[in-house]
Formats: sequence, C-alpha cells, structure tokens
Amino acid sequence: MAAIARAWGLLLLLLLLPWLAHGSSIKSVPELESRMYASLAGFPCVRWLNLTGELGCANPGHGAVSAPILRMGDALDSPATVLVPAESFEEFVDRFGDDKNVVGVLVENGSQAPGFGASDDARFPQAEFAPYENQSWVWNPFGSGMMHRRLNFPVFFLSSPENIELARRLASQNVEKGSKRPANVVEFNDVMQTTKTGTPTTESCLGELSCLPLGGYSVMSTFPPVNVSHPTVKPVVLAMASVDSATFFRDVAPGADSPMSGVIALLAAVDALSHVPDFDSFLKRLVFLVFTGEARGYLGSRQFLAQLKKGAFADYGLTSIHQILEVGSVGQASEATFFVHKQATAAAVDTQQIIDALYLSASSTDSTVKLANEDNPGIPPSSLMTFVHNDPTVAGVVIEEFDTAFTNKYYNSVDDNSSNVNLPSLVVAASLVARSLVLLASDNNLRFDSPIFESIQVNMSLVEEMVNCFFGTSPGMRCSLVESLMTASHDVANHYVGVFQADPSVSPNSMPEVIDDTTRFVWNFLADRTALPREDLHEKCTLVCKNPDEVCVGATQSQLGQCRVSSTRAYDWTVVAVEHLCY
Amino acid sequence: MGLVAGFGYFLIALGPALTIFGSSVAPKPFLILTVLASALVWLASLNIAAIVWRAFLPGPSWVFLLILTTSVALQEAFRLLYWHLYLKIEKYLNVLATKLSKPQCNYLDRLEIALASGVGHGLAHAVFFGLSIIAPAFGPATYYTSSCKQMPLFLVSALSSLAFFLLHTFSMVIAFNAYTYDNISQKLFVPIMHLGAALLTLVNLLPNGCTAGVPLVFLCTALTMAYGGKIVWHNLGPHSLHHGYLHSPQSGSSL
Repeated sequence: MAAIARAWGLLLLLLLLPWLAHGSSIKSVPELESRMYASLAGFPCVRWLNLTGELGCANPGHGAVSAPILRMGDALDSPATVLVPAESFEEFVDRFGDDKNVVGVLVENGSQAPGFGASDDARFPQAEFAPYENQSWVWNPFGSGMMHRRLNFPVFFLSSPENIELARRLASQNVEKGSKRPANVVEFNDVMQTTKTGTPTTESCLGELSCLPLGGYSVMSTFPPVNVSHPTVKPVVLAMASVDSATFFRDVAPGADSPMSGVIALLAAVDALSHVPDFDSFLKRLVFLVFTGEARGYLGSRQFLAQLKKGAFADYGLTSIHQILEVGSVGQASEATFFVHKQATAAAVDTQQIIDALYLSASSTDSTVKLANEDNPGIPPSSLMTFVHNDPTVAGVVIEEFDTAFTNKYYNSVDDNSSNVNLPSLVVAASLVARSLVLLASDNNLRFDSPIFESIQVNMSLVEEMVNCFFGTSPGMRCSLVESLMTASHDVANHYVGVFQADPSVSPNSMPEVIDDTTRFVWNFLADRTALPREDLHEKCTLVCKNPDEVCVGATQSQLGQCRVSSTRAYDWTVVAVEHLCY
Repeated sequence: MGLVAGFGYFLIALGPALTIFGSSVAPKPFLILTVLASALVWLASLNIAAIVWRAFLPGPSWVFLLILTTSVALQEAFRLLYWHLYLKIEKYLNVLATKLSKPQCNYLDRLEIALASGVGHGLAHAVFFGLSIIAPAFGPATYYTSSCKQMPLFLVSALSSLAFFLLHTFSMVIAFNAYTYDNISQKLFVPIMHLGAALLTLVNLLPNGCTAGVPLVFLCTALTMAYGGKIVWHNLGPHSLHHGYLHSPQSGSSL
C-alpha cells in the first residue's frame, strides 16, 4: 500500500510539473537557430590601397575571425572583440592597436565629444596636394588622422541604439561568466582583403584586378546653355563645389558642412540665377562644376583639368578658364562672416575683380566678407589647389566660413550631419554667390542697385529641403524635391565617392543608374535650372534626346522626363595613364 | 566547434544504435528489413500523434501532459498491432520454411526479430525527436536554454535520444516475451516504463531540471535493459537448455 501511495504521489508530482516550469518555449527549429545567432548590423571600416601601401581595416587573413565580446576596460588576456565608445577609439587604437588579443572592434556611436580627435582626417588634409611649401600648417586642428592609419583587425561602427544595447548586454554577460563557457562570440565575416594575396599597392592590385578603383561622376553645366554645334566663345567663370566626403567608416560620410554646404549654396544660387533675364547678353559665361572624388586625392578636379587640356570641352566653348569662384564650407559661418582665400600668385586684376564682386554682394545682403589672414600659407584644402598647381596665376578664390583654420570640428567625420549646418548661413552664402556671379558675368557692367541685382532672391525653403533630402533619413532622398526630378536608388544619401564599376566608355548621360543619387540629383537640378525657358511642347523621353543640344531632364519611375536645351553633362573618371588612384 | 560538435551529438544519440545494428542486425538481412519496416510503422504512429496534436499547439503548458499520455497510449496500441502483424508474418514464414524444408522459426528467432523491431522503434524516435534538433549544432554556435545552464540543448536532446533508443529496443524484446508467455507483469512493465520515461522528461522543464531529468530517464532505460537482459538470460541462457525453449513456440499461447 505504501509503495502504491508513493507511486501515486510521484505520478501526481509529475502531473504538476508543467505548471512549475517557466521560460518561453521554442516552437520550431528555425526559431531555435534564430535564437542562437543575432546579426549586428554595423558600418565597416574598409581596406584602402594607395601608391605606397594599405590604409583602413581588414581581417588579418582571408577567412572570418571570431572572438568573445568584451568592453573596453575589461581585462584583455585572451583573444576578444572589444566594444569601444567612439570618443575613446583613438586612445584604444594607440594603446592596443598592436595587441594580438584584439581580434575585432565594435565602435559605439556615442555623443561624440566635439573635441580633438573628432575629425578622422589629418591635421592638414591632403597636404601633399598643396601648391605651397608649408605642409605642416594646421588647417584641421581637430583631426586625428585615424582614416589614414592601417589597422590589422576589422572595425565596425554600431549606430542604432538597439544594436549598441545588445552588444553591451552580451559583453557584460561574458564578463559575469568569466572565462567559463558558453561565451557570446562576435564573428566578422567581411574579409576586406584584395582578392589576390601579394597586391598591397594600387599598381599591383589594379594590375591583378584584385581591387576596385575609386571614382565617380562629376557634373558640369554651362549657363546659359551653349549651342553644341557652334558654341560661341566667351571668357569663362567657373563656379565650383565638391560633393564627396570621406571618413573612417566608409558608409557613414554625411559631409554636411564639409563639403556639401558648398554644393547646397551653389545649387540655391543657380536656382536664383535662373530667374535673371537676358543672361545671354552678359559678357562672360558661367560654368558650374560639382566635383566628386575630391576627398580622396582631388580625383574630379584633376580629371576635369586633364580633359580640359585635351580639348574635351571645346564643344561647350570651354577651352580656357578666366576666373574661378569655389564655394567651400559655408554651413556654419558665425555672424554671416565669410572669408575669401586666394593664392598670392594669383593674377592680380582678375582676382581682385572677384573679390570686389564679393564685397559688393556682401554689402547688399547684410553679410560680411573678409580677406583671409595674410599669415596663411595659401589656400585651404580645396579643389582650387588643383587649378593652382596647373597654373599658379589662375584668378581663383575660395569662399569659406573660416579664416586660419577649420571651424568645423567634424571635418570628414561621421558626425558632420545636418545639426552641423544652419540655414541662415547657407542662405546668406547662396545669396553672396549668386550676386557675385552676376556681377562677374556682366563684367561689372551691372550696377549693384540695378533692379536685376535686387531681384536675385534665394529660395529659403529650397535650401531647407535640400538639407533634409541630403542628410535626413526619412524621407531622405525620397523627399518631394528629389522625387520631382528623379527616383533615387537608396533612401539615405551617403557622400563617399564610391568605386568605379561602370564601363568608362559608356556615357553616363545614357546610363543614369551608374551615377550615385546625390550626383544624379545635382545633374538633374542643374539641367533643369540652366535649361532654356520651357515652351509648351517638349519631347518626352526616358534617357536620351535626339537633339544634341538637349538632355532628358526629370525622368523618374513614375513619369517621363522632358527634353530640354541644357548644356549639363556628367563626365567620368577615366584612368589617367600616369597615376592609378586606387584607394 | 561546428562539424565536430554536430557529429559528436549525432554519435551520442545513435552510436549504440550503429553498434547494435552492425553487430546484431546487419549480418542477417531479414533483420535489416525488420528494422526498416518497424521504423516505418513507428514513424507512422508518431506522425499520427503529431498531426492530431499540431492543431492544439502552441498551447498552455498542461497540454504537454495530455500529449505525452495520449501519444504513449497510441504507441502502445501500435505495439499490440505490431505484435499481431508479426504473428501473421511468422505464420507465412513457417509455411515458406516448410516448403523449403528449412527449420521453422524458433524462440531465438522471435527474440532477434523483437530486437530488430525495437531498433527500428528506437531509430524512429531518434530521427523524429533528435535529429532535427541537432541539425543547428553543425554551425559555429551552441544554445543553452534558460532552464538548463549546465548542458547545451543539443546535448540534452542527444542524451535523451540515446536513452529512448535503448529503452525502445529492449522494450520490444520484453514485450514479445510477454505476449508469447502471456505474462501480465511483463505486459504491464513496458507501457508503464514508457509512460514513466516520457513523463520524466517533463522534469527538464524545471529550472536546472535537466540535471535530474536526463539521469532519471536513463534510470528507466537501465531498468528496462536489466529486465530485458534478465528475461533473455532466463529463457535462453545455459541453464535453460533443458527447459527446451528452443523449440518452436507454436504450442505456446499467443494473443
């Protein structure tokens, strides 16, 4: 009896067990697998190659690497993946960059302290391209030079709070357990090596086809449009800006103040100028240039000059350059004060004309323009350096928000986003540029109190929309301004120059999808604004127009474009025989 | 870990199966067929239970009790069916043997077929319950449930499959003997042990339950193996020769 009672007791206990259990149950094997793995989406630091060697980050071998995750500050006595806050990253690399136990690094997006080290570039970015001797001038006091270092482990940037939270949780679980299993392990499976070993420089890897060259498309537009079959020749005033940025993490390069603020100001100026009548009667011709690849060796401007010298732009009446106005970083000017930088060797009279035009425009727009400090060694890092190299006497100036050194703390940094620029500065800069260009085009025949001059108004909502489109995430490049002219490939614009994968012999104008979103928008915008005023009937198009003077503007996924008379072209980066720039 | 871990878990679950298969079943082609046929029959029984219960899952945790009891009951019913099927087959085999002037099935043959049937049953269980769970173990990661920090889920599953494989293998031997000699206590032993082992797996649901649950199931297995071994030794061991059990048991009663 007692045995039976005990047996029943046991049975009852067994019956009660399900109620005593807790914990969520797994419903299927795929669900089990999904609990074993979590994907930490991050932005990589990639491997770049230049003439002399390698930069950036990569897995040490050709396979994936994995190691348990720890936080910076935990004991590093066995191979580990380290979770490092952004503000301590430079310090971490300095102390542990060569430590064999560092298998990979995850960088947390923190509130980046706006101090030293916030900028990834060198203290004199691209000093080797400076047309003057003093290459130790500190233009970028906040520069850490991180993006020029070579690291032998993968580094990823975690930007979303959920991923950071997950990574921290996994790391603290590891620390709690000590070295006991099971450990939370991070696997880096983006190898980032050239596809063949033994190709550590540009020349070798391009020769072996084991890497891809950097490159993109720059946009050129003449205003007013030229008759391509017989262009009239007028002295040319170049108005230029650059559109690409470069940071330690390739895919997070917003570049809001440097250099996109210049592009925004230029585009807004073009928009204002498009309402000025009789531009054709002006003595000089304006040519707008938006370069890409500047942050990685001034690829765009150098290619432009090379092609110019070969006569590639003769069809557009462009054989030589009379004056240059470059719009640099103009997004955070303090008290609407801008500085004009020029090279001491620039031709005196023509350069002074530009400066006078700027002074005049400043007085009419409630802003201030000052000449940059004489103690500066020359022009700051800018596309103008390429032109000065080509011809030291070229009459060119760069407008910047700073005087002797960058005021932008986040030059070429992941934090150079929309909060780093302000609307008033952009609008004033656009106004300045627009009015100065009118004065220059008219060769000072326009009085500054003429009604034409006064009528030049910068559209403030356009500027605001451009800021939201270029640097926002929603709607980002799906905003109505962009959608009215083109359909973007990605929601969020990134301003890294990118790799050149198209066939250089194919004209980008007939294959717009190879051009990245921002450049393609600039192309469409310039084409639209510089085109001859609309007539009633325009030929609809999807890619090309029959008339060589016309281009197909505003073709989107939902509407056809229109053929409009405009001299806007995208020109590509083709391999120049002397230097291979594979970054 | 990956491949090594995956194969390790596979061998834990089915290593003895491979050994038994290789040593006792493979030399006799008829037994191989028996294993296959038995596995199919038992897989069918598990599938029927699964199809019925799928409609009620996911559900509250007390549903597990119902699932286990009804599935065990269904399987035991299938065992009876299997026994009757076997008797029919044995009859035909004996007819064939007479025609070919070969000896008829004796008790040893019956037990060997019982062992092979049990192996089939155990394999069906291992494949159905163990192999799909072990599949993710071939990847680089492992998994510990919140209620069992001591062993990975895959190890618990592999050990469980091993325990049930051995349990089913020897249960069939005991069952065949029980039906042959109409032994009530032996006839009850198998279903009770089966139900007991099944319910004991519920212990794994408790926090840290796997440290007790897995050994307890192995206890059931050990008891079954011991009992089965005792029966076989008693009936076929050296001292049984003069009992003459090696003759055809056709005169014995059967259900």
